[in-house]
Amino acid sequence: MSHDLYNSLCQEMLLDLCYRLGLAEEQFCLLSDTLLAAMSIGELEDKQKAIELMAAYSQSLQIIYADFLLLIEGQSLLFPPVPALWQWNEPRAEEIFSATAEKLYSIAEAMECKLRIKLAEKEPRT
Amino acid sequence: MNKMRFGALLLNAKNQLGLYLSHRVVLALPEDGCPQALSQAEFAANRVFAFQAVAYPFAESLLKALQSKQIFHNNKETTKFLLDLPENVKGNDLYMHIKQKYNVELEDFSIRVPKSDKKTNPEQWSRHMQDYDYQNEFLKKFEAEKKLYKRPNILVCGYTGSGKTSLIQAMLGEDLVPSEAIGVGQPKTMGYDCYENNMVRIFDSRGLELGETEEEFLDQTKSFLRERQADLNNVDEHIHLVWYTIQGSGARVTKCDLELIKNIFSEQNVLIAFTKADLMRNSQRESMKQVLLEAGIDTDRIFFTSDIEGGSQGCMELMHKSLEMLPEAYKDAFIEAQRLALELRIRAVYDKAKKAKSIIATATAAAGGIGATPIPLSDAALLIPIQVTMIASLAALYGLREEAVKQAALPFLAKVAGIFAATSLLKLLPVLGSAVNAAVAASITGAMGLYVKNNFEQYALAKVKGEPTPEFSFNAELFKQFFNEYEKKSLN
Repeated sequence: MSHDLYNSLCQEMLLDLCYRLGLAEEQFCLLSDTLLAAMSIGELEDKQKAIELMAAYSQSLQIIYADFLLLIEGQSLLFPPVPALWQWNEPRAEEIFSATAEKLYSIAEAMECKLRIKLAEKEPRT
Repeated sequence: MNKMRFGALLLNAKNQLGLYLSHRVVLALPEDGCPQALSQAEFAANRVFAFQAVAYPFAESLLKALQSKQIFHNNKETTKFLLDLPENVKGNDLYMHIKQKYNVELEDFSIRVPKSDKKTNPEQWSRHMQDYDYQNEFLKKFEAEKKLYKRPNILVCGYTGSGKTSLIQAMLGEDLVPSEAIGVGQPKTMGYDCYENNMVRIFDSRGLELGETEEEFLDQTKSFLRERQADLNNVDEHIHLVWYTIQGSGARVTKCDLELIKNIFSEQNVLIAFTKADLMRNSQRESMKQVLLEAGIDTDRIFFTSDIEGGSQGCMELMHKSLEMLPEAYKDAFIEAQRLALELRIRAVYDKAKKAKSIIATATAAAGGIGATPIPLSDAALLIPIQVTMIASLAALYGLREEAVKQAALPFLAKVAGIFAATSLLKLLPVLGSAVNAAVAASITGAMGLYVKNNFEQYALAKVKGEPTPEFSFNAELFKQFFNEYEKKSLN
């Protein structure tokens, strides 16, 4: 297959990863809302939902990262473990949950940054 | 979770197979001929093989094929290579073969349109922007945001001349109570005066005046409380704390005092302050305290305060206890309102940084969404509504007053809007090129957020320290530094 075709398919795949990160960001927004509710109101239902949403967000990012590695060189990444329900009773629960969400978000941000750089390399700015 | 990844094997209603390449393109594998790139709409996939199991090997094969420069002459060769099929498999058996080989089932499948795509129609936004009144929008959002910051309602109650107004001034500053509310030898408060600012609302109760009986005083206080607490769902209107004042010098604890403290106010929200305590003898203090203790009032809710030259006595203890007793949601505002512990107020300003960060992060994510489809530089002003919301939220967070908003924040916002005109932005940040993409849109917004946060924090600190507040000026060089730092941070 020609180099041009390879390039345009790769570019398409890079754009797709950006798109999927966009979808994951919607998950993150929902997660942030729920975390905030769980922290401020403290309902068990919100706490459980926050954990489910965090696990789903983490899984989405892990899938995206696996595909990301097909296109961009990188090392396998250790995703932060999603805290368990009992950890809401820890004295620093809010910090633990926020830190995990922030860490996941920063992985997504870093991926997006690298993708954008790669895309910019493929299509030089005029 | 999104059921899509490179190489996911899709099937449409006509039982055609295709490989997921992106949210826009499917590599269709027709019976005859080479793989064809079709749009998702053209291919119209409605089912997918369990994506986790099969997608990865297909994607790897696909990339290997692309890199190998191998030429496939027809579909048979391509599918054989991509799907690792045995020679004898026919087109119609593909489904069964994959099902057996990978032990997977077909699942329903659809491509989702991200919400952010709805926002990224530059034409529509450009039209919208022509009518966008950023000043009005800012004021609307600022007002709405302000309501989110709860302020406590404190009732200051006691006989006329018991030092209620002086106590308020000692605790919350002289500027809260108008000077005409203070007089000598006259009842200083008529009815329930309400003094308020952004941080606290004080109800200064009517004292027991000449010609009025204690019963009338009790009834009036009771009905005031009933009125305030009437709406059970609106706790922001309830009285959250009561400072009950008893004049220390020459007075006594009356039955009416005890009735109010014990039976009309709740035990959880009343603190008793003996005012003018510097004029009390020790024995007098002890005996008055004893009366309250005997009535079952805890000793840690009794304070002796005085407003003497060189500072108020006993008020600091009253402030700390008040803070302890206030519901959690109202504590921040009270810390800002009190005028006794400067270090607490300074710390409260710095503590806002975390919340500020989350406001900036939200705006940054939204800006990234707008830039998900690169927008021409001339449309960079699309980001302004997001930034208006962000600046309004930060202004409310740092407790900017109305006048500060009108005098300083709005001209500042005009400057921000100005730099988003394409030429100014390009001049300011020549790294932009001709279009703003998600990362750049996010960086501009993030840097703007940090820059504004820095300004507002300085403003709030100056207010707390009683220093002249700095002017909000737009320093292009400083903003550039913030932008570069933000970009560097994102890349790492």
